[in-house]
Amino acid sequence: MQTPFLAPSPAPTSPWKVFYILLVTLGAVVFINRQGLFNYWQQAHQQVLSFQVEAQAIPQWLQDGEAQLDAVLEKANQRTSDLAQYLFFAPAETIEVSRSEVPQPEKTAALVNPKSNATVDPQLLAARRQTDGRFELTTNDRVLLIGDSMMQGIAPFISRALRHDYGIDSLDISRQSTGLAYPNFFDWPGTVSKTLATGDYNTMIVFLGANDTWDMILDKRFEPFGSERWQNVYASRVNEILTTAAQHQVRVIWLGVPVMGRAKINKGVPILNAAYQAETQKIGAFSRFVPTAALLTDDLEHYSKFKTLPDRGQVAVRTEDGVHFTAPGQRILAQLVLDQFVLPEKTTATKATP
Amino acid sequence: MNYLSPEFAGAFIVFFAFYWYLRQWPTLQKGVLLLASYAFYIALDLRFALILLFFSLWVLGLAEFIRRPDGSRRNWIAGLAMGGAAANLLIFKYFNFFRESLQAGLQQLGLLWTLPALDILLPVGISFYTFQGIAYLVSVAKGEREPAHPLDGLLYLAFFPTLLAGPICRPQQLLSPLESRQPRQIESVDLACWLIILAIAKKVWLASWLANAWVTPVFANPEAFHPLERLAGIYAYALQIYFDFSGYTDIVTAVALLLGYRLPANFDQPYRASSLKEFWQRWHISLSSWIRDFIYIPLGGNRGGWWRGQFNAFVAMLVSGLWHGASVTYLVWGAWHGLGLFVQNAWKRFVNIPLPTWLGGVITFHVVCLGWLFFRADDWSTAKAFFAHDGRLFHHPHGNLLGLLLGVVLYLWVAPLLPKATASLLKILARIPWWIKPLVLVPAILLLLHVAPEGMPGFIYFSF
Repeated sequence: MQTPFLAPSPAPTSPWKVFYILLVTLGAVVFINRQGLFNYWQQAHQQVLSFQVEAQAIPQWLQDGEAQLDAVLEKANQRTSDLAQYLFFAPAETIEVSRSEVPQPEKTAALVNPKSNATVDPQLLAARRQTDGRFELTTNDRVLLIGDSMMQGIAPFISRALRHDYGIDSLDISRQSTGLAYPNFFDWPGTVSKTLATGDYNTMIVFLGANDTWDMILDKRFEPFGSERWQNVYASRVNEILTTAAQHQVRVIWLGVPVMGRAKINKGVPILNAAYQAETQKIGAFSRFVPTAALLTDDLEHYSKFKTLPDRGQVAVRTEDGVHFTAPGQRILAQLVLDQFVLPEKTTATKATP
Repeated sequence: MNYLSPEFAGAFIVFFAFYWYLRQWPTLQKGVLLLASYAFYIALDLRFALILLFFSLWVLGLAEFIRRPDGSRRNWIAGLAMGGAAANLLIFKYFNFFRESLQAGLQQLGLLWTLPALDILLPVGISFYTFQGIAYLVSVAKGEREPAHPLDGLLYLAFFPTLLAGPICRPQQLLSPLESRQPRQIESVDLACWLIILAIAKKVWLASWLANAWVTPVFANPEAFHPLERLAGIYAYALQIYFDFSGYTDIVTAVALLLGYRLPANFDQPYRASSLKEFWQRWHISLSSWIRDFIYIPLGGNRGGWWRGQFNAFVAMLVSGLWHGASVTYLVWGAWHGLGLFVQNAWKRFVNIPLPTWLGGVITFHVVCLGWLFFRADDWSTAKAFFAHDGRLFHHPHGNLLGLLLGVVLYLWVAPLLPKATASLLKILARIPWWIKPLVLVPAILLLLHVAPEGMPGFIYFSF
């Protein structure tokens, strides 16, 4: 028999004293950290806690005290943060590479089909886009991947293929549990704007929506999912991302949300996709909506955990939760993304002779 | 429900009061604990709870009939009970893995026969409670103990602190305390508080930071990193999985302590091991000792000669790998450890030059790290990408590489001092009057939440 964990114990404590310790500790941590709890709750349960409103009735002196403490902490934070930031966090530009020696290919040459020269839209030309809608991607381009846990699943496959097969760099900044419905929790339009301002990306791939089929909180009130106001606000956030991208001359591939195995989420999927599609069309040449709804199913319509692949039979493409993808499912989606580009020749194939 | 989530904390406090209100009536108290355990599981999925209930009835029911009144054993019932328990695990965990492999094999033979794909849900914790159930059956079959009272038996298999990811308790470690008629008491509230703080530090802060800053980006796209950064990513994962899993063990140990039970140790500073054998005596102890007692020794252990012993150890490591999941990478991980043990034993037998402890430690750590690479990699091509050669060699690593290496060295330096430091800390905590203790705990927790990355992290070992 194994020895019990750690040292011999002192005298037992009365459960009611322990109850006091637990209750006061948890109460104090929750009270001081209440904003964090509200954000967490909103995001995890799509609900506003009933005492969130009452929390605003905290006496002024306490609020002032907290504000002062916050200011002190903030100052201390700033003093230590530069070194800590340098030592413990990757710079935003994780995968910066010097590319100055790489010869610049003729950027527009491949675009113009001599036969249909006259019909090429100048906008398409600026976005380096083929008449079939695909974007041209070369080793000079840098790709930014954003989204939620769906993107976190497929991004490694995209990044690896781009880097390994085509020598193209990309950065994945997707984050689980995020979306456009709760900007308090995570602000994608703002993040995109900051990232595009600092990094020289010219292509962006967006895949989100799994956390967005819920009521919003607008002016401290619930706005039910799918209402007209909800749709307008949501569309405006999509538009903000697309407009920022277009201002930086960044081409956008916006993936639609696939059918979901959870009825409550699945009901909202068409509304989200309609918003993405409508907004990408407004931006025109620089953005493209790519539906994924039918990709992972056999009947092209209904959710299914399995898909029949020509060489492997039925393969599980979705995970138990009905939202995420298994590795084969992620590969299929990653391939869909790669298919949206005209890619350079595979680097692995051209290594052989100088 | 995550043991470190606000939801769990809130529900636990309410339950705690009710549970201790019943302390004069131990049987009633256990009944409430059983209900709470099932409610906890139902909160995850009703089907999980039903599967556990059927499993428990199977194990506990058949255990009643293993021994005849005269004390002799009905071997076929023992075999049936254990076989059924194992089959339950195999179906839930491995059906689709074998189906897809079999399918691929059939295809190669030119047989176009489609096996049905069953939509099987893997119940969280099934790997852990199955092993507990088998340990119980063996114990009854060997005559080490009587079949348990149904209430105690059900609770032994469903005890909510250990339900999702162990430790895998033996009957004498959990079932016997459950059967005790003594009223429960909270032996060391200071230890429980300390373990909670430690769990938050390990899991919410350190493991999350390592995952965000290193492991996720490096494993997602190894080729985008300098070889040294890839190595650092593997070190980071070694620490992440340790902090994650031992942090989980700390929190459930604390929860059990607060309910009046002591759980067995599951970790003993594994990265201080100077040999692979020692590593397995320090890492996930409840699993490795289970595999030793119920796989390695029944196979014959080292009783059939040296070579036979090596083979048995290798098989045991393969089982350990497969236990973690139905995937080739886990199998490779198990085989890697089996091979490592073989090399270590062969060195001892045929070369027998003892290595200095520090060198043994460095080698062991790196062998284990390479194993973690297979363990973590999504597939074979990710693992291979760590060794890919390309131009990144001439691109400077970032400053955070230094930070991580400093962290690893700091950890390895501090770790040996921890047991002593913990003991003196507990002595200090014990001197603080109970009504002032929150004043110590609250700032510690707030500080950790302040430095930790946002969001509610999930535990790695829940998926096994």
